[in-house]
Amino acid sequence: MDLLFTQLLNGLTAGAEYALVAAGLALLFGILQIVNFAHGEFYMLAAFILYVLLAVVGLPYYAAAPLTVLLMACAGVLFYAIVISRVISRPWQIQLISTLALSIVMINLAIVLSGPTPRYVESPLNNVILDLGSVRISAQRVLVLLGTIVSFAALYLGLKYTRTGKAMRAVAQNREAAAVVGIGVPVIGLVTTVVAASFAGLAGALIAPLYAVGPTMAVLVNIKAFAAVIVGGFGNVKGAIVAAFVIGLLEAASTTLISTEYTDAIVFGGMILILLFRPNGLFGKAVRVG
Amino acid sequence: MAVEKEPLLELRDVHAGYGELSILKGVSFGVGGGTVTSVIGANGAGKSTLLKTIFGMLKVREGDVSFEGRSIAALGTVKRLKAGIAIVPQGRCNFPQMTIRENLEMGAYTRSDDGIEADLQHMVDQFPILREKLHLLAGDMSGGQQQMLEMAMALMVRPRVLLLDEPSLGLSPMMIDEVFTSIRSLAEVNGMAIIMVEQNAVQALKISDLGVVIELGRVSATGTGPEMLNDPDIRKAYLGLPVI
Ligand SMILES: Nc1ncnc2c1ncn2[C@@H]1O[C@H](COP(=O)(O)OP(=O)(O)O)[C@@H](O)[C@H]1O
Ligand SMILES: [Mg+2]
Repeated sequence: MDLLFTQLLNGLTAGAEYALVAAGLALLFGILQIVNFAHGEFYMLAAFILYVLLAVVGLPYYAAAPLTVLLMACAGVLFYAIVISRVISRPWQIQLISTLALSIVMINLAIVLSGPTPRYVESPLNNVILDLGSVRISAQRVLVLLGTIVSFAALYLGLKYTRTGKAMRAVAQNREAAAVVGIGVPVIGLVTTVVAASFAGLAGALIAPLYAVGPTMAVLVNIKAFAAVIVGGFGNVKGAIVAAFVIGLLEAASTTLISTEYTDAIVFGGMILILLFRPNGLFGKAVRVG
Repeated sequence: MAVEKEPLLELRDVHAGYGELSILKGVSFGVGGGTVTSVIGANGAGKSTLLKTIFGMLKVREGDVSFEGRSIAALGTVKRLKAGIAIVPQGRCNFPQMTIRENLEMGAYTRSDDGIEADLQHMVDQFPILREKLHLLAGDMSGGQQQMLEMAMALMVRPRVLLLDEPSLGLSPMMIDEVFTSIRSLAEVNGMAIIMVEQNAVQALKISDLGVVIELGRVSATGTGPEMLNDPDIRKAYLGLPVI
């Protein structure tokens, strides 16, 4: 029972990590039709920002975590201005090369600046253990799950009911029609990029205290987030989030029941199987975000 | 079918194009409120380009477009929408995974007044088929119904100038009659200037005050609807009618 619960919790934590990264990828693809190979590195950048704010600047976690998200939102503005706005109406090959290049530059900059040794981020909540009868859970993990749920609820409500959210869905469904009704497509591009970067920021702010922080920490996460986006139906945000949690739980299950060594093989094998039978992903190919 | 003296929208020697490509090479004509204008011409003549230029999706490179006496050549599409110029372009132009209601609301995206709901109700009175399907997804409707929806979305702008690119494309003959009748009454009742591009030239000219023929990016002929329908050259070249 305890082991099962612990593994369920591990699965949900990993799922939250993949989902926060996958949500941004799905938003960028679904709304702007851009595949962002650097998205995992935004998560890595956020983790380093949190590290610097805590260990170098000396802020408390409660201040550093929200500031990390805010700074990542600013990074989103820069990313839009420097990369997205220049490639958004260019062919996909150019988009692919430029985001891939950014990813490589970011990883190598991190290696130069921080060295290969992993860093550890301290959150006071790591040491607060909640006792739930037979099982114990760290407050940080509770925060991860709560923060993920609350942020996805906010994303859902924002896309469904706000004027900007409706405009984002409109651009996703028909970019020309969006221009015809007077939606400023560049503004929506900027907002989408900022939201996507902020979710990567939230991933860093919440999850970095649980794992080691290093230049290549996000490489595998990014691949799994991509898997979630593909399985969820390319560009379908809800589908990507659900698929990310399925991947996290599947990993935990195969670690518990089979062996850690086979985890990735099982997860990616499962993905291939799903795509064999449902080539458009679990939730259809529709570019849908609400 | 009297044409007003003072044009609501006027084009003077308009040049426009794509990148290096120059498509419109000096187009001039004016249209008044409460009138219907048909733009006809061969495929690739630049008719769609003309509508896109009036709407502001393409820059005016030379010449001028004025609306209510003021130049709008420097304005973007959002400002032109707010001024009262709306377009229904060729091809599907709605949001397929939104409901009819949401699509109509998106049509009013540039408006911030509180008359939107009343206009929406007015629109579904005018297009009863939309009322029945108000809560269904636009993408689940037939092509003709989507065409109606797109027209209604443009009307949610409360336009003074309405640009229609091949409104009868893909419609059944019965629906074409219906669409042309409503175009005529929209102009007369609401005082709009409607400029439409039509392959269905004979039927279009019958309900038009003005006909404009575009040939290789220039206006090669203009006239009233009846003048055009009786012009031997135009009958032969564009209307497929015997010369009388
Ligand atoms: N987006 C575009 N980019 C480049 N050329 C275009 C574009 N759209 C149309 N054209 C060219 O402009 C010319 C006029 O097109 P268009 O205005 O659509 O013609 P029409 O509506 O009269 O059939 C054609 O030669 C067409 O190939
Ligand atoms: Mg055309």
